[in-house]
Amino acid sequence: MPRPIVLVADDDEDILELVKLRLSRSGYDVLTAADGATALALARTASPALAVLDVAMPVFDGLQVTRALRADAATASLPVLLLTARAQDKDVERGLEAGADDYVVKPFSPEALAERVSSLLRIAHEAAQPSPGLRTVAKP
Amino acid sequence: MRPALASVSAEELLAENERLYELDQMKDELIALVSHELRTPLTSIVGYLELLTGPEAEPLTEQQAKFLSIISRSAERLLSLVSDLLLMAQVESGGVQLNLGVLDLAVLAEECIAASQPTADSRGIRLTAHVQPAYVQGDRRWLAEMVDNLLSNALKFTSEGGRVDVRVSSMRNAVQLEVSDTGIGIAPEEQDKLFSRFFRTREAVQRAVQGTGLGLSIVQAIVDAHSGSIEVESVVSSGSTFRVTFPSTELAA
Repeated sequence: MPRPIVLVADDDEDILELVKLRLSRSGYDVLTAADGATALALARTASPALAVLDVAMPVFDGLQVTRALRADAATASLPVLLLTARAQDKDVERGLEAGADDYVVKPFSPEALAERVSSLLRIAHEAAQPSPGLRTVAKP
Repeated sequence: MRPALASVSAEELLAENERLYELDQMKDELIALVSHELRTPLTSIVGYLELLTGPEAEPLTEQQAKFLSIISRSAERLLSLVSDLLLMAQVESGGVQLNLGVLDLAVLAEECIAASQPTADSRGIRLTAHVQPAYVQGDRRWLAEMVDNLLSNALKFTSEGGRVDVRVSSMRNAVQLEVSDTGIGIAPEEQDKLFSRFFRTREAVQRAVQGTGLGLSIVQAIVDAHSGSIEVESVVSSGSTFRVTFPSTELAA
């Protein structure tokens, strides 16, 4: 089975490398982008299984990228995890409104981030399977 | 009217007032910005530390492990300072935005106590709850922040073998939460400055107890936002009690 591709975008090189190191260790192929436009292009061409996006990025920020992904049928169901240095409720709310599935507040534990990524991928995988439970329900 | 003021027109006073208001706004924005900018390098510091010390890391010498634990402790301190500054900026700029609901202060206190128990145990302090159901209209997150702050102070200023007791009680129209410790106490002349921002008692500075002097001013803002009041009773060398009083609410409200 091919390794799932995870797209990671952050304008801070060191954080990009940190996330890449940790996620590679968990068995993902990690693609990186340093700005929102590159992230969006990669999301459309490289068919990642999940995107980890920093909120504050040049060109397009993480929220704009998330909205663009949601608006495009090809990427509408791509799980998105936001990285944010802004921990206030309203910032988190804006992220989830934009269509993100989850968020992690900086500074984060790489271990905890890897766990979130794996749980989001599991949920996405289950959602993509036809539900056996629903098929057995008889029509009234 | 005093002579110095006689020459100042109403317009000038208004302009001065406006200028001070803008300065205050700028200060809050600056604090918020700086806090955010500090979080990014901190992400690298704590993240790479975890990679160096985690279960899959290369073996370390005893000295390397010791140095890394010092870096890690310092990063934690810096992080708590940044969080306090950010919280303070939030409190000062937009005020405390409440997400109100009816909650039992006793349950909340017990949750906070459970979270602080490991710290109390590691410092040899007996941390005990004496609670009865006490319902208030409040914001769970802010009230937890308040209790955490009071608990962290009590634990910080109490030495090994001491006690910290948390009492929650319900009266006819009010509910009360008390955090008492058998710690170093606060001198009478310092008690009314306690809730000012960045204020630290002489004892705290002399004993090099870590802190920013922001905790109690954050507590005060949270108490005010909940229409409550806070008072302190303290005797040097024998301990302090912080008592918060809120209007009570009906469970069905």
